[in-house]
Amino acid sequence: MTAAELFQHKTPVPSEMTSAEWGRVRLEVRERAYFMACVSQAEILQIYQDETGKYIRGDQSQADTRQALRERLAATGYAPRPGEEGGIKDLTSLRRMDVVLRTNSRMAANKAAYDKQLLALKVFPARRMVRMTPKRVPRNWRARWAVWQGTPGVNAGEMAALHTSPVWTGLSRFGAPYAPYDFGSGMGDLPVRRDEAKALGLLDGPAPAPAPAGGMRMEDGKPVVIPSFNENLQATPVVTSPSIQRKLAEDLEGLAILKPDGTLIYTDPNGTRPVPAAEVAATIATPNKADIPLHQAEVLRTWAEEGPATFTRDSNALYHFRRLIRRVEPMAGNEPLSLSRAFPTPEAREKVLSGLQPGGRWTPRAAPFPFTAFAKEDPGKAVSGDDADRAALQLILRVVAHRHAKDLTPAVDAIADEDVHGHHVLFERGHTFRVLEMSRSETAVTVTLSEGEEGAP
Amino acid sequence: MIKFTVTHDLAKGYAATEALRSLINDKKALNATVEVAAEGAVKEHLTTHYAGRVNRLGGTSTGYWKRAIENTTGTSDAAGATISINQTGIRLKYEGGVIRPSGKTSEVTGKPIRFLSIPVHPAAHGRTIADLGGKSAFYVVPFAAGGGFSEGGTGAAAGVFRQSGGKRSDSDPLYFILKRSVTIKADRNLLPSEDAVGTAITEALRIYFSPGTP
Repeated sequence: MTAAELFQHKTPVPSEMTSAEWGRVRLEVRERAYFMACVSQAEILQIYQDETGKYIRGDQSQADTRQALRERLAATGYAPRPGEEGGIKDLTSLRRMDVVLRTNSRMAANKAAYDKQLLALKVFPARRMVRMTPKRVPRNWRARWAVWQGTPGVNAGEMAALHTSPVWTGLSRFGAPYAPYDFGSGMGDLPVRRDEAKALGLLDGPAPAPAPAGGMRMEDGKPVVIPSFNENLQATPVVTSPSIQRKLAEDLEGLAILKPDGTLIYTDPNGTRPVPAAEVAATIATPNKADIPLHQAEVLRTWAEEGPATFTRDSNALYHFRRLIRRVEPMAGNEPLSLSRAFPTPEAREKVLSGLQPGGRWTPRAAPFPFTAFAKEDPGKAVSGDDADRAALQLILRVVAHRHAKDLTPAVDAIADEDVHGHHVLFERGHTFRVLEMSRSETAVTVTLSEGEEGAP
Repeated sequence: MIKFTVTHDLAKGYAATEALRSLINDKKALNATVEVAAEGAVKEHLTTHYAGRVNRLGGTSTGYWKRAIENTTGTSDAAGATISINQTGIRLKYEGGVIRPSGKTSEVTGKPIRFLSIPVHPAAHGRTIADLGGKSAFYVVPFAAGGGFSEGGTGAAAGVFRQSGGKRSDSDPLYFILKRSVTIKADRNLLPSEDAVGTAITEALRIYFSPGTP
């Protein structure tokens, strides 16, 4: 996403909060919100966002932007409070306008560059802080870096560190891992190539965290989905007018919900904010005015209608599917699940059964589609194989207790036009089951499983 | 804004192995690598040669070059990379040209703009008359034939003085001069050569496709 696109997607949040109070708000919220300290008038905020957007897109110069702001603010009847004329609280003052324009354009540009480098860590795993504007009285950045000397992935003397190092947020007054690092700071950063990073000793010591490509990272040697930027994003805009509240809710339909207490919760159709199974479809498939593509809804529909083959064709599909599965809250642990499989020969079935002996453990091998799909049992119907002619070659797996089953049934019912498999309860690869018992009948072999305490991947 | 394009040949020198195919097929990572390499080459060039420049009047930096560096972005496809510097006036600096008044209505006089106001005082650097309090804070002294202002060089039509007291005084500082046009010389060194950017991309791709790279 470019700087202009990032800025365009910000939501205006009128608020009486000061800049210090905004500074205590989570970075994820600040990155998604367009706000100005102590500006609670939506109209004024909108004017500033419009004109700042033109400036960031390069459509108008800083001087033209200031003039447009002065003219539009005058048209609203805005006037600074007595005694505040020309100061930072005067929205038409040179100082205030420059702070708003420069801070917003720098934040957007550097966030865009930061995100892009995350995708190129293989070649550019690090950054170096450099001075981009001379200052009469420069801050002592070397001293600030010195306290990080000895941290793996940091070369304080060269003011360089791995791109994902905590040093960047540690250096920033704003708690963001990218420039600007302080008010009016002239420092920026440039990407450092792998060969130079190695020469600077940044790749020595513990292996750096792997690139988050594919939406995964390693934790304790196990892959986990990286939480969405917006997983916990919510804000409480000071919007007292019911009409503005309604407008805000309408504008954000499909992206966020406004709760009765005024809290704005970013539901994020492509994110990882946890959601009950019954609310998945509404969360991921409600169209939005911003025309943000509904990736999770699309991949769920494709999976339901075409099966897992879709994931071998499109690596992005698996990325979105994993994030979708992560966000679905686990279903009730005592609801029985089953899965039946048919085998071409008795020998093939016996080979699988050899790994399913009572008292033992079973970990599904599921590649390239890293999930095992079960169906919810219909209480009024006996569990049986789904191909009567091949009943003797059936294997039925029943799970009678579980903790991590994700039920996509309501979402599939709401979103998909067709359904090719009917198994909508998924366990992610890596879950282990205890084999409780095995029973053989003329029609099939049934193995009963339980997801134990150690079942988590 | 300014844009320029460099080309590179992905297939050159590399065998089409399965591993290579998967690297090539990871379009997001590949494009990001090319773009960061190209952006980095331009940013490094601007940082080295332009970011340290101080205003010749001694005024406070407007952060022009910092914004130019930070607003340098790249886009790429299989054929090459396009680097854009999204900064007002940067194309004019690169290609050169003559600036003339826009003819828009002046915020100061309310009439069509006929002159350019060129700052000649440190406090005027990066500012307009409107920014500094508007018309009421200044007065204009026409440049009589044979006279002039040493600060403005040749071609000035008038000087704009800042009124320090209630009435005009000899000690009022000259803030701007008014000119009918200003010629900007082309600065072809503003961008790194296509070769330099191409080398940066090639080197990045060498690491990207290197079998030992984690």
